[in-house]
Amino acid sequence: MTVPLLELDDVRKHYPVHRGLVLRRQVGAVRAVDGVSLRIAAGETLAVVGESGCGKSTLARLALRLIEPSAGAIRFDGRDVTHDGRSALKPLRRQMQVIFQDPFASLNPRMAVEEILAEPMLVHGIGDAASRAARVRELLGLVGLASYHADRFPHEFSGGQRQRIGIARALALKPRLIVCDEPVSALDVSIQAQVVNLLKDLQAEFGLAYLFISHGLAVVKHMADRVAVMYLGQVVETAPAKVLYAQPRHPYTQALLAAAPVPDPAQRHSRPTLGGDVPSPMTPPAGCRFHTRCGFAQARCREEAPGLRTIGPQHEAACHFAETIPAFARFGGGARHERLQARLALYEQKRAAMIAAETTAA
Amino acid sequence: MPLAAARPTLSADHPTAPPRGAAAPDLAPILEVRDLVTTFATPRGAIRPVDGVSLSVPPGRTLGIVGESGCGKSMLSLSLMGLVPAPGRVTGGSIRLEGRELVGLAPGEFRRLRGSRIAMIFQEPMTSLNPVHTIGYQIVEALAGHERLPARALKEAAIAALRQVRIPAPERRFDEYPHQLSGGMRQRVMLAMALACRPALLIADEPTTALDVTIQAQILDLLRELQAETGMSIILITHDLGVVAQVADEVAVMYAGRVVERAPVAAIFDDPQHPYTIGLMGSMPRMEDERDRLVVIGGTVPPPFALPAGCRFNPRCPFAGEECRSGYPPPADIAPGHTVACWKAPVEANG
Repeated sequence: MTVPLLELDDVRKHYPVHRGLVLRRQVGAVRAVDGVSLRIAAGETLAVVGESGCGKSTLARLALRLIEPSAGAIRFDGRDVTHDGRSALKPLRRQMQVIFQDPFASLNPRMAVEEILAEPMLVHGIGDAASRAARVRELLGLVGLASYHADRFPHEFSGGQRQRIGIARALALKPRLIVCDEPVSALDVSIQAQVVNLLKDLQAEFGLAYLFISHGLAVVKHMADRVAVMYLGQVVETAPAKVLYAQPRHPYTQALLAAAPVPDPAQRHSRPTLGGDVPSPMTPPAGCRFHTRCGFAQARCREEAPGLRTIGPQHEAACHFAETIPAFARFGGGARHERLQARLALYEQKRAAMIAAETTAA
Repeated sequence: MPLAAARPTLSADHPTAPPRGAAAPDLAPILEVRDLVTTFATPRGAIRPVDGVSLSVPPGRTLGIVGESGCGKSMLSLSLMGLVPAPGRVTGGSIRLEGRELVGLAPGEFRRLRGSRIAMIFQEPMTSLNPVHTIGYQIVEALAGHERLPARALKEAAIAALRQVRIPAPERRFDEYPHQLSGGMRQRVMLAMALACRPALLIADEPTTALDVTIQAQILDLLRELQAETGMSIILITHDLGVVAQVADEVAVMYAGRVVERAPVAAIFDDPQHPYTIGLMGSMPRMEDERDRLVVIGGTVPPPFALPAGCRFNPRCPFAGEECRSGYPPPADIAPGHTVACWKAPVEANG
């Protein structure tokens, strides 16, 4: 097997919880990430899916070595980087970059776009002023912005355009891995589609690997090669995207898929929804962490924590009964209406013509 | 006796609640909006985030309002509630709630209707609840504004309201503070507060956007059940077409302050006519799809002080022609109950 680009091996991040001002003592720990192992190959998209508080953003920060893991190992390109210090990490930072969720908070409002995009190159001492300026123009073109945008400031852009600037900044150092932490969650649906397509085009062009963090299962379906589902700091199921959506074997994955609203008014029926809320990561339930909300839980689930185990090709699930729980099918047909399909084809055809006309005019 | 329990409720199979997605019945609408205009005077000139909107909502039905940021959907809901922030105000058109004109209503009169006949829940339940009061106090406060009842009856009514939104152990929750509740529970509390006085119309502005998908499913189910129990009408404002597909009977698509298409929910999904609606359908990532490239609407929504001439969608529209740049298309019926404002509809014939 080839060496994965990024490998997380039983990574943990526990945040201590203290009480008392004078006699400060630790009363517990929030187990934000609690034993996660993942591998991402070069050019691959691994999506991490889960609800708020499942630890997916902490995992992203761990992967980037922005925070220190409490235990476990992080390897990049086969090299253990878990204990590397700031200076040792600097060359690594060129290889892995990040795109954040909030395009408003992640760009410095006092810097022009040109400065924002040149800063990573300055930090890493790449090129001279002229070559950096040329690279800035190149980056703007890559993400679908114009060179006259270079002098503008973040407030002059819409949310979608700001996210494009964030993507251009991440590309500036020609990284091999980009961690995308909910990159389209804050965007409107039409803009979301533009950014999703852009990320896919860039991946094809530069062979980028993505660690794609998201709570949106539909977006993940369009982006990911493989998917890992997280619940309370642990991975409960991982599989190639096609397999995960067609044959989810963990009850939580099934519940997530069932809960996402089907965009088809003809398929409107009350599906069994997951009751209750996610338990506190400070005191996760004993045994299987999902047993408090699981419809299939039995005595064994309350006592014995299931580990991830292989249940099919590249398919792992952490459930004692992964083979025996009922199969789940979200989609009975679910195809678009023929009339809509034809109309979308016409729309795309007209849009291609519009873009061609604009290009010749310019 | 608890207040809520003392009132008659409509059962799920009440004759005014026809099956979802069916054509709108010919009942007098609960809400009828005609050519509503809301204007803000700004240093850059007057802008109209709501610019000639017409809608109607029959009793017991749900109207979904869909649109992207800046399309005016939130300002529309604030206009309906009489809560447009200064310097904005409703400058034209009419809003009739249960036959009564709301435009020009005195603030005191409006306050009596708000909460009792028309209520609203918002996207972010944490910022809509007061963190320094218990949730019980806040529900009682809302009730006391409309009902003259002794304190004990008010408390019982508030507990009944919490029970109605399926909050477990409502007697205990009554004394808790908002920070002690999860996001889903807070949205339930908001619903309890909104429904405590049995409004005829509930406006839900992105009620599940801030919630996780499993909690969203719980809240959407609850909304459906409560509608069947109480017979209230709902206006659901959302950007999520999946949510619309699951709960709306009729859909209005807004773009740049105007309704560009209105249709029964099935027609919006199977037979969208406006190029913007078609584009939205294509841009929505769907788990049901194998295709991995999304259809894209190019460009962005124009700012309200720089609207293009003619149809406001024309700079982004692949079908746009000369007529689209010269005049705003009047809404036209393309099928029963299906209205579209587009010179090119149907696009197969005219595009």
